[in-house]
Amino acid sequence: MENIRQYLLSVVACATICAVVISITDKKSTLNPVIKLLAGLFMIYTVISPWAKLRIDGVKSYFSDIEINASSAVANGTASASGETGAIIKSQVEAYILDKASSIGAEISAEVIMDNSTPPLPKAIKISGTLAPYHKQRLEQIIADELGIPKESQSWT
Amino acid sequence: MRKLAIILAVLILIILPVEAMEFTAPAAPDSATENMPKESTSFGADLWYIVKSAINRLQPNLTEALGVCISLIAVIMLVSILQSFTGIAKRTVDLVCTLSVSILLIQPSNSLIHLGVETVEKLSEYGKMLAPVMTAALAAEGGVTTSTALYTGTIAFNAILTTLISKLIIPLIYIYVILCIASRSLGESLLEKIRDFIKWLMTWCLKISIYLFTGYLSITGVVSGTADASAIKAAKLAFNGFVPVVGNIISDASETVLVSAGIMKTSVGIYGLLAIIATWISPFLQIGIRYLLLKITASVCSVFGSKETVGLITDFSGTMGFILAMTGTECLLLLISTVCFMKGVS
Repeated sequence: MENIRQYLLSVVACATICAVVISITDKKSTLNPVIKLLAGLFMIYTVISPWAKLRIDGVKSYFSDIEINASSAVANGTASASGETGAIIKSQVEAYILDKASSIGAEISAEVIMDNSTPPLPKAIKISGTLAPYHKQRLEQIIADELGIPKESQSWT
Repeated sequence: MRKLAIILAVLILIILPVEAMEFTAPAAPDSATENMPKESTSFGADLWYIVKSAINRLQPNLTEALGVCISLIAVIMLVSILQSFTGIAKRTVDLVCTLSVSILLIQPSNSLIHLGVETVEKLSEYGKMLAPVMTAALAAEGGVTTSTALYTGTIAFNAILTTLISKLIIPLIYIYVILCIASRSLGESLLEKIRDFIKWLMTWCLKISIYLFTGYLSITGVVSGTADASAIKAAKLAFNGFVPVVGNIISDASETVLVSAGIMKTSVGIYGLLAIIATWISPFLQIGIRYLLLKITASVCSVFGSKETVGLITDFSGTMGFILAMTGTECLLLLISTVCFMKGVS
């Protein structure tokens, strides 16, 4: 931006100098066309020369910084939403298991372990409590069939 | 009892995400906090409170501005009386009058230019702090592509506009003021042409930046909004492919998170809008009142003042107009981007 300011100021200054020089020259003088030509050339040089020196590397790196910051803000938002979704899924799956256990007369506590996918999915479960073998087998089956957690990922204590 | 337990469980599910997934709007700048309502009621009521609060604080500026205008009228009237006497060179009197008007107006104009720059900087800084929060909230709501595009556009245009104002428009305003005084004093047409060019350039810069920004938002809004809406639909369809119970739980949980993220995004956005307006309104009114009073003074003085002197007062009011446009453009840019963030995924 500093360069643009310099550029505009130099063009304005050049235009002023040219206009002053032309206005003080006698219009009937033989030198008048020459001065006009020189003023025109000076003006063209001032207008065109900075464009030849223009480099766009700085602009490119500036926009790439903005894109990095944008990705970081988006990642922050999606991670936050994903974490929250995972927490809700975890609590609902645990509540579902406890509900099923109480419906068959078993008293247990359950902790669901989530994976890192988006949205997070239950990958394993830790169940503690005293159950009859029949109840345990039935609950294992329900968890595998209805929640998609295979028997080998279920840990019973 | 069972119904009560279910209602409590549902309420906990709704409340949980709001507590855990926090998106907090950055605090309004210090100069804006005195205009902000202590307790939020509704957007309309809060906005009205801000306007009333800013108007209440306007009194000292109004008195000062009226003082300057009365001094201007007195000087121009005195000069017109002097001109009625014979033997006094009209040209010399006009020159003295123009310089007196310039002296009276330069100091207030300079302080208002500083006020304008300060306001633009405060708005820009606030915009830089608000954009990441809105981006995160919109991304949490499912607008990943939209939020990226909006963040990039807002930050890039904000930076371009702020730099344009501080590095180009402000020096040009000073040059414009000098050229106005010189052209009105000397009556040189060349200076008038350069002055008009600078005026055109400043207006064009501000206009084009806001046109480009709204154009960018319109195009990216449609394109990225459609992409995000499709992605959300696809995700919902994918949940049906899971084991039924888990699929339903995931679907409900995602819906709850999307809704709560949307609620938070809206509340952050509303606070952001109010903070932007509260930051902008006091300087706007201060500059606006000077602009209006100078216009009135120029109209009054045109009855007895010379063409150059009245023209100079109009030029100074034009300078106030540029400062208004400058702060207004920055404020408009941030308001538009915040509303776009709030609109979210269509």
